[in-house]
Amino acid sequence: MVTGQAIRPAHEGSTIMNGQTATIEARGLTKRFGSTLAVDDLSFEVYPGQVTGFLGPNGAGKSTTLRMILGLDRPTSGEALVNGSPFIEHERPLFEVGALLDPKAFHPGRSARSHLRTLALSNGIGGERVEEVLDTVGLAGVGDRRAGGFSLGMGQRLGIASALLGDPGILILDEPVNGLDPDGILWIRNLLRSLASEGRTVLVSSHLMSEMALTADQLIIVGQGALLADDSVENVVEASGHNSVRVRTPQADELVMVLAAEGLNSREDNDTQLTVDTGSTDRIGELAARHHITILELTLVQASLEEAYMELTHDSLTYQAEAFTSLDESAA
Amino acid sequence: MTMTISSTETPLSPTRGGLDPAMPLKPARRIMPDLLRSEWEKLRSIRTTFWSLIITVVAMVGIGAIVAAVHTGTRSGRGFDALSGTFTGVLLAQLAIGVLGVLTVTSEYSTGMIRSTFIAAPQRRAVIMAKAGVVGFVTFLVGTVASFASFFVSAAILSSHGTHLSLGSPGALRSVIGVGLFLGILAVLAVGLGTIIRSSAGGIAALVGLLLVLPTLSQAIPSSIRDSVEKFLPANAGQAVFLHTDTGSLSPWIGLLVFGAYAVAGLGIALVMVGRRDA
Repeated sequence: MVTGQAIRPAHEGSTIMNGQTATIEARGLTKRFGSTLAVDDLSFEVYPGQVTGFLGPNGAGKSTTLRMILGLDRPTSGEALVNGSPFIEHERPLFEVGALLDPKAFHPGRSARSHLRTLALSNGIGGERVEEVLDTVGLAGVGDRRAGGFSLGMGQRLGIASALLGDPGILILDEPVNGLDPDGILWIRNLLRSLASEGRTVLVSSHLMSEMALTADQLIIVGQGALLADDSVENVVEASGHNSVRVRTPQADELVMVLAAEGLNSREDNDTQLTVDTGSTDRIGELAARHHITILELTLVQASLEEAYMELTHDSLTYQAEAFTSLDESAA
Repeated sequence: MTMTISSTETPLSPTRGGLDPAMPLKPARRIMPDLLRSEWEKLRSIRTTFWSLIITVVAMVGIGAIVAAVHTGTRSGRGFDALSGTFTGVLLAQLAIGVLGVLTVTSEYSTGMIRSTFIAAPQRRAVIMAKAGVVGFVTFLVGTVASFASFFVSAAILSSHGTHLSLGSPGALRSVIGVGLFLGILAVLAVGLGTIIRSSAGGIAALVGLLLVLPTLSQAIPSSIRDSVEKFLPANAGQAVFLHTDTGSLSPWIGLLVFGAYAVAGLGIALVMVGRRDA
């Protein structure tokens, strides 16, 4: 980890937070496909009552991790626990975990209602609950239509309906807003927030930081299968180290020299404005006062979540690239 | 939707699809009835099932009737050949049933349904057993009904030309019931094949190979051992219960037993593999 050093590593976190017990735990989760290391020693906990965003670029190992949590893929090493035990040891898991992995995980020839009935029956859930969830996701009117004719958005809704069948305390959703129109995205966002506010655990993956910025409270960020950050949204932004201070001064040239002498990088945006790579306005103010430099404006410019994310994932890629380069050099 | 806040380890809501939320988890054996109900819902809500079973009935009754009509047109009086001829349609029906059995599994893999299935029921072996049980039983029922229908239609055509064939004829009742059992066991074997191979094309190819190609290939075996090998091939063994073509085949019930052993072995391999592989 490069920038991630500033952020609390997952394994230092306790399994109890705010009096809550972690409902999903990954412990040293590793998955290797042939020579590819898809998930690399991933450890984290997910807590109820909040939306946890599981973020990473495409190919970062998010889906593989979720599949291991749900018992579909067997970890090469490590383990994933749901409510304290591996998923596959749960009977009638629909009552504990609802999951949406793939918006098209149904037989296209079956009606939406039939699809839900097959899943509900396997957990002993009755037909009235099927009608309830169809209603909840807004598919009640098309329940008898073949699911194969559904749009991607309707498929997502059907997947969410199946996740809600057992009214579970844990929801795991892989890229649920993919392919949705703005209405659908807003609907999912509100649904996730309300499910979390009811005390449920909501783990939702995305490659879009902008979406998570609006939905998530907590972030687990992965790159190349490894953990980059596990912290609250605010802390991730703060720790990204990408904050800067904008200074407006008639003595820009003078201030640049003073800052450079103190080891602070800055650049002149124009004749009277500087951007300084630091997170502290105090220090610049003090330095300016000591050197009798007039300050007209001193503003902390916070990095956006998007920038923090770009920085984190970019660093992980750069780090990997450098590692390969040095390996080549040592071999030569 | 009614949802309430509570601690995480306990169920969250009073709406449990009609189930008591305080109900303790049932032991593994008790989950089987639910899985059987689920697999029955899956089977009956797919058009493939309907068409496969229609083809089965039409092929058995129709082809049996044609053979009976042709048979009476040439020479009559040989009851045993007439009995075998009655079940000629099974040779087509077995393909429809086999394809149905394979597709019940492979269509789940090809559509992604299998992940929904295993997320709802991670007891993968129990799921496959439930699938084999439901498909096998439904196939046995439909196959038996078609078998009786085919027999009576053929018998009526034969009798109008002076050939007497009834359930009391030697081997008749055994053959009629044997056809249903053969098709039911075949469906179980096909579910096993589908689970092992997972692709529809591959599974159907394996099935056709087993039923049609293997008996043909066996012609290449040196004649000294051919007879002792041939009769143990799955198709030949299973069909011995209703086809009486030559003296080289196993006795009817032994043949069906050998065929059942193939199905058990195939399903057994499938159960081991489905537990080990990533879904």
